[in-house]
This record gives sequence, structure tokens and C-alpha cells, in this order.
Amino acid sequence: MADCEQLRQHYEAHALGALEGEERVELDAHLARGCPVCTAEMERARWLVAQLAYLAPEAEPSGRLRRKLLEAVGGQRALERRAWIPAWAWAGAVALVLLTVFSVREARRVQGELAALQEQVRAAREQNRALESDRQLYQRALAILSAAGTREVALKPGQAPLPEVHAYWNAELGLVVSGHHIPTPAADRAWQLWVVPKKGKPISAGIFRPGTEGQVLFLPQLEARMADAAALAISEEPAAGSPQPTTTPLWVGPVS
Amino acid sequence: MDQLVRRVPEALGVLYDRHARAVYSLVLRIAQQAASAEEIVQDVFLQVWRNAHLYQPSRGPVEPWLFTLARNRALDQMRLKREKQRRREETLESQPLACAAPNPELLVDRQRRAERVRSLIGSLPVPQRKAIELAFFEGMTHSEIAKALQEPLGTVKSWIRTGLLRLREALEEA
Repeated sequence: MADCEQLRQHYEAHALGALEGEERVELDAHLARGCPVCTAEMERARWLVAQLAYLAPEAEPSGRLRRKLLEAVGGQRALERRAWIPAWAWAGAVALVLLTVFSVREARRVQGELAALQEQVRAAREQNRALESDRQLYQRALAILSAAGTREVALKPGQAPLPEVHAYWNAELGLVVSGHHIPTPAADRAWQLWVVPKKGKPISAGIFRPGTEGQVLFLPQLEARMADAAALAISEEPAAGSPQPTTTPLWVGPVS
Repeated sequence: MDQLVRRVPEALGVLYDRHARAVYSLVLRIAQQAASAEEIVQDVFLQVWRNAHLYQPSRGPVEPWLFTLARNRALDQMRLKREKQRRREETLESQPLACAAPNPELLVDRQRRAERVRSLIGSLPVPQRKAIELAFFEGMTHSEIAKALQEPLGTVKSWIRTGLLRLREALEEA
């Protein structure tokens, strides 16, 4: 098994997409094990390779393209606006959180400075763990999203005005599901992702709930083979999930 | 960036005004056709829009991400066209991502960086430059480049690596 020192000669070629065969397999496997040194160096290599874009002769897109783009997002935005929570509500929630934090800290001060410090250290460690977990999640999602050969599956809502959900699948890196302003199901319910094979029954790919602002970033552990999938679907199910869908899927997207 | 995450269309307009020319230039160089290039550029910015919440400023400026997405998408589209021509069944598609706030200081930096990239790569011997261009703009692997240039595989690997390391040195100089 090669170590970081041996693999460093391949960083740039891998970022360029020129690396192949055993060398590529070896570096991919090493990166998949989460080596922090090689992960950081690969990010530097990707940045370097991206600079080669400046070799392209300068060209100007037509003015029509900008209009089309903004019209496209304007339409999406109109659909999502109904789910938008006003800024004053968020400000109130933030104020409430700050007030709560302040009150808790005051109570701890009375109980003794030492106890408060210990609590702060513990909280900081927990926060660090949560941040690290988030960082790893985002890193995996970004790797899938920016990898060559990643395929997009647009899951269209069966009912307006739900926004679209997008899934991105890479044969080597896995599947990531991403969405904005997705409604939160009731406390005892959850969204469940299904891989619908070309033949046979849907296979569960896990349950998820949106974040506080309706954002979804879900990386399922796939038991189904995406290569055999005809579609992805999302239905509302009990919070612990179901072996098979019990409701009509609200989002469906064909896997081309 | 915050505005993009909050789905303000005008923020996408700002991002587009800042980066569309460079992204379009790259995609056009790969796709060779203006209509295809504009379609790909639109897809790239739409995917950035959909996935703005994934962008982390701590990972660096947004433009390299845009370049990476645009290049991968354009190369995938080109591969797809070639596959169709060969009547193969497998298809390839691509992906999204990223975003950023405008930064006037970056514009100067970007201009200087672009000049250094052109100057350094332009100073390389023709076969070495060709090897790097085939990898970046055509998406070729080491062995495909070796075959196209009729050069030994080891030579091609060395050309690409030393060329890119020289580029890194040139870009990291103060």
C-alpha cells in the first residue's frame, strides 16, 4: 500500500483527470480513507489545475444568456416564495436563542466559575465534533458534486408548490440529495428516499428531515445498485421509515 | 454569497457578471460550438444557484470551483456526443455547485494570475504544452495523450507533472 510520500507525485495528474489504472485506484482508495494530508494537497492540486482555464481564448457569451438564466431562477424563486419565512420571524427566533443562552450562562456563573468553565469546555468540544461532522458531510457532498461523470437526477414534485429536489450520483463516490425550502413533515413522520429498480420493488435509501430553513443535504448509504435504477422517489413515511412506500411519492425523478 | 443562499436572483446576476466571461471562454474552448457552450454555462450557473448552500468560503475563491464544474460538465457533454456517435448506450451527464461574493481585489489578482498562466504554459516546449492542453481541454488520460503524441507514457507523465509544478511555483511567487 502506497503512502502519502509516494502518492504525492499523482496529485496534479489526478486533479487533471489524466491519472488512470492502478495509480488512480490507489490514490482514490487512500483519499476515501480520509487522509488529511492528501485531501488538503488534492484541493491545492484542483485549484492549480483550474487555473489552466485561463489558457482558453477569451470569448463573450451573448446577452441573451444572462436574461435566460435570470428568468429561469426568477421562475423558481416565485415557486419557492410561498415557503419563505419572513426575516422578522428569524430575527425573533435568533433573539430568543440569544436570550436563552444569556440566561443559562448567568445561572452557571452563580453556581461557580469552575463549573461554568467545565461546561464551556464540554460545549466547545461538542460543537467541534458537530462542526467536524458537518465539515466531513459537506466535503463528501462537494466531492460528488464536482466529480467528473456525476449524473444529475431532478426529482419533480407531484404537487405544486413544492420545490424540486436534486440528486447527484457518481458511480465511485455515491449519491447526494440536495434541496431548498423543503417542508418539514410532522414530528412522527419523515421523508424517505427510494431507489426504484427497473424490475422489482422499491428499495429504501434512508430517511431524512430538512434543516431549520428547509435545506436538505442527505448522503444515503446505498444498498441498491444505482446502475439498475429506473427512478428515485421520495415519499412521506413514519419517522422510523417503512420497508415499502405507504404513501404516494411526492417527488419522482427518472434515472436516465 | 449570503444573498445567493437566500435565493436572491440578483445575487446570481452579480456572480454571472463577474465570472460568466471566463467560464464561457473555457467551455467554448472545449465544446467548440457557441450554442452548446451557452447551454452548458447556463446549466453550470443554475446548479450553482441550486447548491449555493454547499459552498464554503473557507475552501477558497469561487472561480476555481466554477472552472472545475464547467470543465467537467463540458468534457462530459463532449464524451456524451462521442458516445452517441459510436451508438453506444451509456450516457454521461454532469453536475453543479459553488458561489461567491464579488471582490474587487480579486479582479486584479485574477488578471495577473491569468497572465502568468498564459506566459508560463506558453514558455513550455510545444509537445509539453500540447500534453497539458490535451489533458485539460480534451479530458485525455496519460495513455491517450501518449498515443496521440506518439511519445512514451513516462515522458508524458513527466511533462505534465513538471509543467504543472512550474506553474504552481510561478503562481505562488509574490
